[in-house]
Amino acid sequence: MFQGGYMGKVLRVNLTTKKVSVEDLPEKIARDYIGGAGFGVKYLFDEVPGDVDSLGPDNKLIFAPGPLSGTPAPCASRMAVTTKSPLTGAVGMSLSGGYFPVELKFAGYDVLIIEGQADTPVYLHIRDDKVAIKNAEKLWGMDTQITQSIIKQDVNDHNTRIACIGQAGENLSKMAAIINERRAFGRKGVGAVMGSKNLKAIAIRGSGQVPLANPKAFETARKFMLEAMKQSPVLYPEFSKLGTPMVVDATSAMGIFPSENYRNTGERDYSTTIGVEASISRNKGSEHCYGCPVGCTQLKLAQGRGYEGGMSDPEYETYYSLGSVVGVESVDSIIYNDMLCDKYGLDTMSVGVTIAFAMELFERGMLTAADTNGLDLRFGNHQAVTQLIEEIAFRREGIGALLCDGSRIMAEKVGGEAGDFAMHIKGLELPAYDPRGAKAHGLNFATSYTGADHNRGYAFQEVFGIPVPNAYDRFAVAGKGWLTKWNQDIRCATTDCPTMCGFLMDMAVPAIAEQNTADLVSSASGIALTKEDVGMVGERVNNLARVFNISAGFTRADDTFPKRIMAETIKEGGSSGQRISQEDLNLMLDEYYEARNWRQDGVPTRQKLAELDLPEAAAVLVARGLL
Amino acid sequence: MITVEITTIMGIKALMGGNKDQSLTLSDGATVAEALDQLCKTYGLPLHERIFNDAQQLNPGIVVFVNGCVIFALDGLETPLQDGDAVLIFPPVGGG
Ligand code: SF4
Repeated sequence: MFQGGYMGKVLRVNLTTKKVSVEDLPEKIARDYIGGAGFGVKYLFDEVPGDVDSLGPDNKLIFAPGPLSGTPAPCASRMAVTTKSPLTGAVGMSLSGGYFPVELKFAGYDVLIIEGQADTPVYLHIRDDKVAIKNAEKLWGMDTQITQSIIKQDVNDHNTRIACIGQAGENLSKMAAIINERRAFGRKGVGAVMGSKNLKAIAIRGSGQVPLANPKAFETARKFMLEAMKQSPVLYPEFSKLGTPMVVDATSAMGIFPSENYRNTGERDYSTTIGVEASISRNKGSEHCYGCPVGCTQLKLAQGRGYEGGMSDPEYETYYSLGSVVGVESVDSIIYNDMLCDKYGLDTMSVGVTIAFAMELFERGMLTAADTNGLDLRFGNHQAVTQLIEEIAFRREGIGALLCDGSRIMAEKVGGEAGDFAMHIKGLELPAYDPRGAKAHGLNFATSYTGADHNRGYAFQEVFGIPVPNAYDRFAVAGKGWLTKWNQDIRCATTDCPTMCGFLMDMAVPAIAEQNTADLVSSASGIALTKEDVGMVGERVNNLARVFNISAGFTRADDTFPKRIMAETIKEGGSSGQRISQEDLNLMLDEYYEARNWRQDGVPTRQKLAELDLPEAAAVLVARGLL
Repeated sequence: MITVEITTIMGIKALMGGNKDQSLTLSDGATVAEALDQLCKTYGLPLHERIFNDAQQLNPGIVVFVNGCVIFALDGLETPLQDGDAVLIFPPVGGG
């Protein structure tokens, strides 16, 4: 029995049998995995074999907020969805914020597991202990914003919180997202898994409260956090006023803001056209996630011919994916195209990088107008980007079908040398940092359990120069294996599991994140965790996810970079002269595996798995003859 | 004499007359601290207060890179500069 933080219940919905059941959340799982991504990886590992078909009925969608969600802890309305990713074939874990995450807690659950496959479109309606699988045939074909408003009318409750897919998820685009309000479980094709289950939406309204085990100690920890936020040099006023778009200016000056499919990073200064000054001129206000005093989300209204009325909140990554990486220098086009991606339920990042790949192939003559439905796919053609988003969302014959499953599948379809220009790792398109100019940030992309995912081990030491736990030269190779492990474990343990906004941790308490998490989670839940316990949770989740990926067929050879990153040198700008050679990669990987106490083939050792109390992971490796 | 290339962004750029890039001439063997001092002399107290605290150390979140490397991984404000070095001065930045 939990004293607080946790609601103690797992809601399981089988869409094939229509069976709805409620289980107790085992205390050991709470203690060992905390919540969020930890719960997701644990339930995925236990219930879904690594070789399962991502879009088949045996894959599952595991939604899990954390023990801090719904408490008065700031910025904790976050939820992880975990599944086997159709885009990568590895663990697919994506987090979203907003108001949806806390509602599951208020309804009385820590975890929602969706399994099976409905034979016709349905949506799930959860009102505390009343759980109904409802007909969604009339919603099929609708975009994410209309879907949310119609469901609210349907259930006659405008405060119901909804996560849903748009047309991209229905059409099983492997870049499809799940959208809640204007926020997204964006990456790794989680929306396609929802589409494959014929599940259009999940609507939740809860009337409960999240109890606190030790309100006094919790209040002390919360006040400490709020004070640290006030003292942060970044959060107020900069971050709350400018949001993530300000990073465009920083990474441009550092020469790591990728340009035109990475072929000319550093050669053009995008900060003058799509940097913070240009984007702030479109601001119409900001939005907050539940319980967040920062409100970093910047709502922007597009201007100008063709883009009037486009309203959205593009984040830093989108200025890259719908901007620089496709050679576009119009903030209005970025705002508009970001809105389109949200509307159709697409990951802006994978979509933009896949379009950039197509543009490069077009300019090289490897795709012709006959392949592009007549579209002129030269870099910088923002109208073509708008058109392609629609083609992708609806999986339209020709260019839509070619692009809609992401770069890796597109490279296979085009064949020949095309794959040399596909910017993905394990099938996940690269985020907005050229790894050649930030080596630990890059090594995290190469080794993260979800593919090229900046958020699984953000190297703030390199990107923002924060000297925690030490200062690092971003161009150096040595020492980056250890640092990457540190970043991945701490990010997992202090943001992805409890669940708490990563921005807050990086900007307010980077040096004491584990202690801060231990104080908040222990006082909320009554489960006494030390900062060492918290650190171990991060390591445990990263190891368990690694073993899932091994069982899905991944090896050391997959911990790598796209060919361009290894073969070409950045020619101009703040990272001029940088590349990552095969020797550099080998050195970093050797060091990383050593830091993790993994073998040099990237397989965790028996000793490490025993230390982390993961006999189930050891058993899987033994069964595969790997241990 | 040596000449270094200074680049800055956002709030610090605004305090340097909106100049993103500028060349700065310094005496041989000058350090990062001396480069910053000279900029503060040119642009005045608002820049000085933004960059330095009362103990003449960098304010929290102010970050300086020399040829791409953060000075905390070098000799901090005492990092010596060479002719042609690229110096990047950032206000507090975060997110992404
Ligand atoms: S800082 Fe931004 S993303 Fe984080 S919780 Fe607040 S509004 Fe949400």
